[in-house]
Amino acid sequence: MKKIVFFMLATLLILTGCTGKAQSGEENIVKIGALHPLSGGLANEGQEMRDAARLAVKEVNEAGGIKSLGGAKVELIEADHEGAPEKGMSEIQRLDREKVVGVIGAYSSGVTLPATQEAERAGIPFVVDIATVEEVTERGFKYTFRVQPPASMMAENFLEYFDVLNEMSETPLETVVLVHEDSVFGTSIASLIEKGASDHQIDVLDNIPHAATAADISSTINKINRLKPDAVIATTYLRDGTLLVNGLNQSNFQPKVIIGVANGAFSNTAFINDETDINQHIMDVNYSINPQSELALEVSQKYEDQFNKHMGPNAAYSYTATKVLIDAVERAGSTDRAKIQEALSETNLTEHILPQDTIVFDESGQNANAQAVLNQIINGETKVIYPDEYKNADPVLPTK
Amino acid sequence: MKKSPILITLALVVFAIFPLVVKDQYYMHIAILILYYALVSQAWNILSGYSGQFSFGHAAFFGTGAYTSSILFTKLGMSPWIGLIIGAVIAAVIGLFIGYLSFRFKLRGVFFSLGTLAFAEILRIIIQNFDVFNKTLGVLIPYKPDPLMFQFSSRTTYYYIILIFAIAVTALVYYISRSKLGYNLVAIRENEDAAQSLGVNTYKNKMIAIAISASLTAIGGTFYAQYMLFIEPATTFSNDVSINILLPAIIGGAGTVLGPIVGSLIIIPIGELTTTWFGNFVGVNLMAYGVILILVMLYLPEGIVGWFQNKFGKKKSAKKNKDSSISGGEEVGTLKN
Repeated sequence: MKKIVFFMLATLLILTGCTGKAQSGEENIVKIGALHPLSGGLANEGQEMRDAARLAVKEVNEAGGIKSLGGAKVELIEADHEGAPEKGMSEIQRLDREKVVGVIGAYSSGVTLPATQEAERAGIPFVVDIATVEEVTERGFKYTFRVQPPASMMAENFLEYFDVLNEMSETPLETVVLVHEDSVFGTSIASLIEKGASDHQIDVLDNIPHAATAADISSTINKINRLKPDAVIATTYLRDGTLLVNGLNQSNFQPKVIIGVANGAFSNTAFINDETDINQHIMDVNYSINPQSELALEVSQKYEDQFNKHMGPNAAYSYTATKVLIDAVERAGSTDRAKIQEALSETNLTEHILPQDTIVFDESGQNANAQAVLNQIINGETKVIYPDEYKNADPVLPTK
Repeated sequence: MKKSPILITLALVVFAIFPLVVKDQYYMHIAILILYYALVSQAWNILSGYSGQFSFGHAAFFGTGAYTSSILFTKLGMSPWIGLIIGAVIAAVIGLFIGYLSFRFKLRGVFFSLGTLAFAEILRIIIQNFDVFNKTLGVLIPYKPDPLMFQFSSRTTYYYIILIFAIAVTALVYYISRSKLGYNLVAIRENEDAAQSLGVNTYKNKMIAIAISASLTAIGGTFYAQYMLFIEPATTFSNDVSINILLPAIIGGAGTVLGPIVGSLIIIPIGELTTTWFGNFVGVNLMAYGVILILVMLYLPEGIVGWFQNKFGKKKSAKKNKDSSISGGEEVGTLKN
């Protein structure tokens, strides 16, 4: 038995030695950090986003690196926060010691808040790719920038698109039931929609939370059956979203339309490709790539070739965040973090893959032109149906 | 055993001058985590290590402490220093309530463990469904360094505060372990029925233990909230939190004064070191961490401090050693009951 222990310890030491050596290398490199949940419950999403950052870095390096720094190569330092706030904090310090010039991340709001705070203290530019809660950019931080539209923007976009749908359609949508998963993600969006609903003449019949891990949401289905709303508005993750649509499909009552808001199921390849029996004409107000942009289609294809999976909205935002950060380094022409922060605040990126105008940050560090688009699943494919300048299909309006 | 005062003084000196020598923020953060886990694990140790009432739900007390001070601060502007005390009192009341329900009705062994687990979950669901607690949105504490508001711009201050907390709680545990209460608790752990037949008021002693343990855990919760400046139900009331609280004590040696500190000194750096070593391979750090935990469990089931006491304390305190070796066997017995 003791031999086994010694053997294991020996292996451990050898492995340690191996990883230690890889550090020394060429001088002319610029390090950027990518902080995501690479292990744990959100590992799937985190790795998808890490891959997107890898792709962005690879592209830059293949195109000759950072020109203003004499063609310096970009090196991606990958960090894993495991979904734990204190881990996020210590990973920021680790990245600081690695001398990164900036960081992108971090997907979970609960980690992003303390991690950005730590970066602010250490003076590291932090470009948030995904983190929904408003507070990320509301603390007066200088070094925090966010590419994604926050929860309030999602809710605002939904309300606006809902009005547009009503104008286009002959059968008006008046009553809705909000269904949302009960973590910060679903709760914040649903409560913002509920707050703004009366201004848009929307009658919210009920606002029903459920745990994303729930094995069964038939009580939600029963309530919807009783209330008979015109539309069901859902903010869910993949599994519970599938349960919801399946349950509604099998019940006696069918709403005129199901609309997701930042929905984790309706934007997921697994749901779009595999659930074609039930997903026809479901709509989703979500962030996504711009299908009218040549560049976006090209990047999305590259991502698919390289990682053998579809480039989802999360990946698109990580890719963009990485590009935004590298663009700032290029303009700063320096690896000095304060100069990069300055360059970030002056960002004006026109060549990007998002369905929005140029990427510019407002005083709080929020991507001022960020917006969600209205998607619809038509014959097993997700299409953008509004706003007009980004759409690649005409909407199929509720007819029931 | 005669050497220990020197060793302890030496350890205290090392802890005290650590920030003066090490300026690196990364190591400071890890040192703070070590002391913070030592504190909460020590609190857990009072109830579960000494009296053998194995709690799987200390997140209930931890979260209560974190939420009480944070809500009072963000909604009423009350200083978290006061919130710390109020949180500790509320946690003690919740502890007594859980204790009343469990001990009154003779819930023992795994049934008590499951009971505490359920209570932590109940509290989480309550927090998630009331607007006062911001539901699942959590509480963001605005960053405004002010010593009166338990916020500091320098990490060193946090370090000394948690150092004082950890030393104070350890001293308390040392004192308890030498007091009548401590002997009663150990008697309860070894054989509750026998203890009762000898005149130990087991119910009262267990109630005292859970109240102290709960309030000290809540203090750890307030510290966590003020250090991270953001709390949410998932990171304060979840089972992960409960497990992280009990792990250092189990590894170091439950039912020993130094166990939680030694355990924390070992597992926190290992967690971080494996990340640094294996950071390039996702998940390998967690596997290495897991392997080390399994090895400790397999070869040192009584914890590191327990193992040391068995191995080196034989001649001088043969009697004491006998007691602790019995405890291992009895624990299994109680679980079976």
